[in-house]
Amino acid sequence: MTADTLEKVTVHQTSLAVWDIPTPAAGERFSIKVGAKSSADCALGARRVEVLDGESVVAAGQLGDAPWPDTDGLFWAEVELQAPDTPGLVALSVRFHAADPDQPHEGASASFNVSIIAKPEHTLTVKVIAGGVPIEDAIVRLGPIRASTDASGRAAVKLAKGRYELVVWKSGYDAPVTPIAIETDAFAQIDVRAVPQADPDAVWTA
Amino acid sequence: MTKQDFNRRSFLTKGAAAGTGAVALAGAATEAGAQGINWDQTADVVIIGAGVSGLPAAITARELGASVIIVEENYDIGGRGMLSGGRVQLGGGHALQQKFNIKDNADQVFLDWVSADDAESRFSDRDLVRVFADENVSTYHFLLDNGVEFIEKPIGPVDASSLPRIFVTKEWHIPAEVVAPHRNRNGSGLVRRLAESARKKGAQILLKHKMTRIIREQPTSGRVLGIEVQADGKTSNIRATKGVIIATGGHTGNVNFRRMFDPRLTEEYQQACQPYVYQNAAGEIAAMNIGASLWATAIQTSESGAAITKTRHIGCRWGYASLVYEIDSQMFPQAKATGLTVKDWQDIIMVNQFGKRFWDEGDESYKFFNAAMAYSGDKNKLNGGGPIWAIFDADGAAREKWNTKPPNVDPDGWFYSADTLAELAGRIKSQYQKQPMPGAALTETVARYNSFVAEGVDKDFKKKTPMHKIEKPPFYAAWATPILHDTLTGLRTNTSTEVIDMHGEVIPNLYCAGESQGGFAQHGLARCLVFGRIAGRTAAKNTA
Repeated sequence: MTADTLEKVTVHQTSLAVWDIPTPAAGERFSIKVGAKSSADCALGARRVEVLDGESVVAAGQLGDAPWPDTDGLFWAEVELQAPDTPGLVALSVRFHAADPDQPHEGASASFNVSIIAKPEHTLTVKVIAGGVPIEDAIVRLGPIRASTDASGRAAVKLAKGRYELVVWKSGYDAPVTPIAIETDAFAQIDVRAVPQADPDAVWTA
Repeated sequence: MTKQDFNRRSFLTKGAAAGTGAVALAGAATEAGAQGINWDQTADVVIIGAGVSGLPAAITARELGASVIIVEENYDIGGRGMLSGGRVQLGGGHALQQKFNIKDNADQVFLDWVSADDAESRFSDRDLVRVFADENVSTYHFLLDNGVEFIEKPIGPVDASSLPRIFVTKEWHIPAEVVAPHRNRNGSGLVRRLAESARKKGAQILLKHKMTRIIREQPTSGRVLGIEVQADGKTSNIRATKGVIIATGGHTGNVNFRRMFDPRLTEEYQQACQPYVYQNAAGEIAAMNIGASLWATAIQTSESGAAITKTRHIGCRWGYASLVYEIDSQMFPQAKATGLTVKDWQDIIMVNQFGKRFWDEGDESYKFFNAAMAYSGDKNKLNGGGPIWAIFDADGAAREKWNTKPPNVDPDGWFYSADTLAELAGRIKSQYQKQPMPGAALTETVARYNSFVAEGVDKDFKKKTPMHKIEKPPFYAAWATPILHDTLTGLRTNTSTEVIDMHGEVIPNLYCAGESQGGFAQHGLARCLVFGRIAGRTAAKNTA
């Protein structure tokens, strides 16, 4: 093999991203997005990506020909998966197959987690107020389940029976964590407290 | 008495007489003095720095009949006051407090600011605080008399104060002269009005004149005679017949000097109000070179107030909390970007130069800063924590409504984007990032954080209910290294602002006020104004 030939077979690095990971109910089918990027900005369309549970391949997909919007060259695929029957946090990984001799790339892998929830049975409606005024865009969260409040300060989440800790979050406000037991459809009103800016000079116009 | 002493005193007598009223311009060399100095200009009082202390010192000295020269190394007046929010914390029961039925008095001001319960007060020199308290009301009236206008809305109590004492000055009315317009830099109204008044009353302000030495009779003994300055590449000497006032604004921007108090404060930490103002310790160093001592140094590291702040505007070089250089700012050509203002710390994580999280991003306390400045594992840099980067994704940018393009960000060392986290880590190149950030480490850090989001619990740093995964491309890294703010210690003075030497003795004819003065931990403008007035008064009345 000559030196010229050696230059032509430089192997490029590859890196991966996994996104749009939902919070599926046990036993549900769901999908994620997997993207692969070449360090030399090579087009990676039609390459294979795999999802693994430990060493076992549980799903696979083929990268498309168009990069993900606003990226330089992240080629991506939507991969469908089956949620396990038991709720909990599941650790998975994705793997990029590097098997093209004309455009050699090193393989890559990346880990990610999926929260599997119990099948929802009831609706909890939460109203968030501050001094009687509805708070919009507050995040209402019970474990991995979440929703944002609308203009009336309301958010609805679907839950299985059980005990939860209701957390409300919005920057500039503070609220205690509220224990809540779900036995049927329910309603909760949370009064949050405005928290002043820490910096005495701070005047925000954003 | 030596012949040399006799000659000096003869000169002092003549100089004092000539200097009363207007500034005396000597032109050619006129006087040898004790050290053979040729004096190019003479005034009764020479003030170093045209900021929040120097300007009231000048006005006060002129009102008492002294001639005044202010030297200012910047191209314009104001110092950090120009970029301040204009919050003046003066109490004591002045007229504006009375208007809002705030019942205050000097004793209460004193008691508040020597309280053992607050880190912003317990370390202060109580002799200085007593004088400060007693001069609050007169300083408020002084400001009104010199054209300063206040917004009639009390704020507080804040800091160590038990009563509302903050009133905000009105912003200067000409945006082009505000330096950082559109961002409520109301301190501009304070310093512009004071400069206007100082000039009307006859003070001469020499801009772009950098003090390079304070001249004393002997290297560490005798009286202070004047200063050496550099302007337009030339060195000249300015004689001060009654005194030199150091009003240079502190030491925060001087890496070597600030590390005397805290060795962690290495070069990667920016200083609030750069690049308009560099708190370069010029006054402190010049004074220490002739024997001055420091005072109340515990205050600087008392972990109180705003000595260290989080970067609120990330992705640019200078992102201090409430200060943004918009594109029409005089400073924008140097700042190059406005930064991305963080509204919710849930939208980012922060990592060190090795791609590892180090603390709860939402924490505003000194625990956060201590973690950021902790030893990072860099064997070639044991002090300082190295650069800190905010990491976020496309969803985070969308929630914050950020436009991640220039001029909002500065891609020349302060902001990066990439399609994957591993690629992002490899792209980070900064003068302060001494080695590449490991892509695998950043990827692992984010994966771990995302698992915390999934579970709703930050097992590493107890961030309150981590809310958002960082997963959707593109990914971003934005400069978020803490920023240093207040200088809280400096030169030792007595209550008349006379500078004290290493032996506890007054250095004759040398005074200091403002952030270069040690002994009072109060954040903001009030202590600078009060002691600036006292310095001007003491120097003008000096007959020694």
